[in-house]
Amino acid sequence: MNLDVQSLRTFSRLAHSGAEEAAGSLTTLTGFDARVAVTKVEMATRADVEREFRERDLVTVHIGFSGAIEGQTVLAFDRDRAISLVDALVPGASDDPDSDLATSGLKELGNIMLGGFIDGWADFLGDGIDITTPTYVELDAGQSLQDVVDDSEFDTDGQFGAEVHDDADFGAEIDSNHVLAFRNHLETVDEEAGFYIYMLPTQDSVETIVDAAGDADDAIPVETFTSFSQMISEGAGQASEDLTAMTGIDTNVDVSRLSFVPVEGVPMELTDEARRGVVLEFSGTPSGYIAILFDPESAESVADALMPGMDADPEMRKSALQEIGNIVTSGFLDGWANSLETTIEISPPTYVDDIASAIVDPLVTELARTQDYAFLIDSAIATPDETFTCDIYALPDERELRAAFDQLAPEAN
Amino acid sequence: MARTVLVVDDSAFMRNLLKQLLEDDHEVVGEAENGVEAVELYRELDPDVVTMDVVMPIRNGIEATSEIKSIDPDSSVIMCTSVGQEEKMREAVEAGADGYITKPFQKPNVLQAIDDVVGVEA
Amino acid sequence: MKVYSSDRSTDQSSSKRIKVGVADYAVAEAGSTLVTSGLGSCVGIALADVDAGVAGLAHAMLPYASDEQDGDGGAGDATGDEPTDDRPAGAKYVNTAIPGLLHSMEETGADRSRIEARLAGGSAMFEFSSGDGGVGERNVVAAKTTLETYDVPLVATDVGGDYGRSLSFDATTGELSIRRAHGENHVI
Repeated sequence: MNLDVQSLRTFSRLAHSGAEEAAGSLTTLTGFDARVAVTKVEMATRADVEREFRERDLVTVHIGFSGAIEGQTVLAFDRDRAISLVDALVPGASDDPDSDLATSGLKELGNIMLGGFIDGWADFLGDGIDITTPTYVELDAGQSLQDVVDDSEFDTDGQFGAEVHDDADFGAEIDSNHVLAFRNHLETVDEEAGFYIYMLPTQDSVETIVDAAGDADDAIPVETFTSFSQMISEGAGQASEDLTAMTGIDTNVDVSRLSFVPVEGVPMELTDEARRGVVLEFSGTPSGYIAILFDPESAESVADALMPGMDADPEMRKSALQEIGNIVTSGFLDGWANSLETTIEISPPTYVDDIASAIVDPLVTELARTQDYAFLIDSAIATPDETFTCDIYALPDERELRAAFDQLAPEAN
Repeated sequence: MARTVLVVDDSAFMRNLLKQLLEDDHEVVGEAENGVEAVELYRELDPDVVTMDVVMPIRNGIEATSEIKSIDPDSSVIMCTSVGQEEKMREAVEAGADGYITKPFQKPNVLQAIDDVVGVEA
Repeated sequence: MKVYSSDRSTDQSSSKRIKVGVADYAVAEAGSTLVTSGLGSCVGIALADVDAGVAGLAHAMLPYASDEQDGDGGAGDATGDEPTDDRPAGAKYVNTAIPGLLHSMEETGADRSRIEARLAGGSAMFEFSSGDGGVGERNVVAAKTTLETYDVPLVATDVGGDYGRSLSFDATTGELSIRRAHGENHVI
């Protein structure tokens, strides 16, 4: 299967307008004034999405869909938010958040929001998409989305499987073929904590939409995205090892994602709190920008770890962070250069201590001069004991990245 | 004038919401949570109007609507669903639905739909 | 069969605090506050007709819709002019965001002759070797020029520097409050 940038744009637009519908429904039903902050097309695996649900303790409502396209949609929100939602939907019911009426309210909210999300896709394809009844899921550690979905849809009275799908391997099929996830972040005006709508189509379904929207000449085999995602994970892994070697503190890669977003969506992904770190420019195939950011506490912890027992002045601490930035960037990009059999030059780091969204704003603005959408690579490296977290954002030039993709998959040409 | 209404929806929350919304103007005489119950209750209660969810377990709202229409061609069925796809609306028309409300609805929409399909006069 | 759809609008005009995204603008009435975050090289253009109680805030990325495009894919290709979502068309560029916002404000009851402008942002945080540099400064120039073209007086500015800004614009008073990562808030 091949993917092209035109299709990715179509995906992004459909997902965004679907999320707009869903946000409108949320506002109508609960009075929470919601709007769509960012819509991302993620080259993520289903396991990545599940991990996010578990780690962030998200409560979810699932709806399966089939027909013109098939897969799963998920409405996810923080546990605390679930309680305030129940209160808005069914006043008083939040006293007993596990009651049938409380979960019924959440399920129906999911049904209405996700139903509205799907409508635009059906109309775009000029065909019908059937949706299943909603399932309420609290994902525990050790459970996978697939377990839950299979349990609810196939072990009950066959309410869903029998009519809509005749193969009981439906869940497994999604998993093995899953290549894209559409992630929509909805935020309310007063609070940062938000809602997420995920759409996880099957590979066949992605293909259906590519056929309707795409530009075959421009297409890149989907495996290329997968191998690039792999390359990003390896780069993040190397950066994590280098951080551990320098600081003497164990670190893990928490997140490593490749996504496709409207350029203006990138700064909106970041907080407006202060972050410290470095910004670097890289050039080669591809060129682009990278920002390595720490929250203020993490920046202090890292500087302390680099200069144990030293009473370093602020300039020295700044220099230590710059050096960390250099090393993390090299760890992150060296693997790319090797896989792509090219060299990627890295500029000296510029130290930053500013509003996070304002730090990436000039990087995105440079890209915006020639592109409407960007491939965003974001990774998070963290210590298990939460001593520090390091966020990495890389923004390669879109056309140069496509050239790099060609390098990864020469047989495609 | 007040009408007798059968509310069909698999969500207890939604049935409650509809009941509250209709209580001042109409009388909810029955509630069903799937298409099979809907048909049974329709035979039993002969309501003036049915609000019918589409996506339900056991039997969906489109099939239930077809069956109610074949039992009683003069019945009034209003689809009440989160699905707003054009294709699905065509299916509803084919099944004989008299109106189509998309969720989330507002009270005036629901009351207007009932007046439109059953008429304001007795 | 008649279809009854409720108005699922995401119109925020009734709320007290209205968020303006990147490449976005919004209009508010007295009693509300317009906010936008993370201006680096981007500019925030705050317009108000205090007598009518109508205010507007734009967060624009690039100076001009026309000459930034290179006609070779990306922002210049056939699909480049479509807004990527529900944000107002043209909000990405200073020279199209200003007339768009003025028009929306007039529709909400503002009188063009009473509208005054405040401008913030357009900083130079980095010097990139690849870019042709100075986008922040060019954004500021474009804003001043465009405001002049539409005869909107610019009453206060807080532009340039090498730091980011977040804005909060009081639609009742027309005061623009500017927050940086460090240091006191600054009102113009």
